[in-house]
Amino acid sequence: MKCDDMQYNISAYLDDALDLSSQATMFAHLGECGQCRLFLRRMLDLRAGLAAIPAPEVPPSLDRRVMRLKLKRTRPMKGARERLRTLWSQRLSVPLPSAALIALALITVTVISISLWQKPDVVSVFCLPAVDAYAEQPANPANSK
Amino acid sequence: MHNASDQQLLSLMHAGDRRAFAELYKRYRRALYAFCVRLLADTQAAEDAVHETFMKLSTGSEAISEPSALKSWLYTVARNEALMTLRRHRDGGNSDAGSVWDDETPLSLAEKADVRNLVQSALAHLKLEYREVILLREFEGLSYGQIAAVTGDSASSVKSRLFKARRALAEKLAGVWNEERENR
Repeated sequence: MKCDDMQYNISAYLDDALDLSSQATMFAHLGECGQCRLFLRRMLDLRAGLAAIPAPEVPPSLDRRVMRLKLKRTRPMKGARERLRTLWSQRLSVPLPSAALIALALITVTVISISLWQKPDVVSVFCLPAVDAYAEQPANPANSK
Repeated sequence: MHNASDQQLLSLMHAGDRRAFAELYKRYRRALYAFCVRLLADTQAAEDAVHETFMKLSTGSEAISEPSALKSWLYTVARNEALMTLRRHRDGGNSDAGSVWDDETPLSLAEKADVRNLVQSALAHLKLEYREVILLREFEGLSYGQIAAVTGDSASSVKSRLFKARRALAEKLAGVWNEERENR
């Protein structure tokens, strides 16, 4: 493996992102290569140098500005079950039973109408006397006098 | 309140709890401000970027798809705000794609006062795409995956940029470390 690839691995090693087998190869190489040992030392120096840089103090003006911000109240994020419950309570709980009731009423009316139409005795009971009475009337009342 | 997880605080915040928002601010203010100052090298612009970040949290936190990823979300927003500030202040800039340094002129390191200033100054002169990965990894302790989420790159690209940035910084500062060792 070239020194450039090895130094790439040294950088990953510093981030705990190098697997054990590559670490073994890296340490074996470091035992033989002064240039890569120097690179590792510089990496460690750099890390120490960066760690020594103090964090800047947060200015009080930023604290004041952020604490003045208005909080927008939002609905909490919901899981699938909660979303289903909301869908039922807000969208379905009232319209769905109403629709079912209307459908049931329509079906009942239709069934009753069909059964009335298809029963001859019912037709005869309610309709035939009227037909008979009509038939018994003279064709021209003026001629019958 | 300070024992609550980010996720719990976010839920409380959604219900309108200001104390939860204040706790989240307290938790991340220092790190976000330091990140923005080091990225921008401008305290006022950094303050504005952090303020905008928390304004977005206060008004649009429902955009956070996964509450456990709040940290990455905050760094992403802060970075975007900082980049917008940089774009406003800088037109064009250095287009040398092969270099990791932000300016043509090398630092006159010998004129700087102490090692800490030298490191800080060298860091400030890194190109933004290299500086931000160093800041997020070395100062904020983000993983490759988290950095990738913040910068919108792949984890392997982050790993590669970190290597190049470290190598460039180490080369730039090599003389400083050697001198320091000789003086000990």
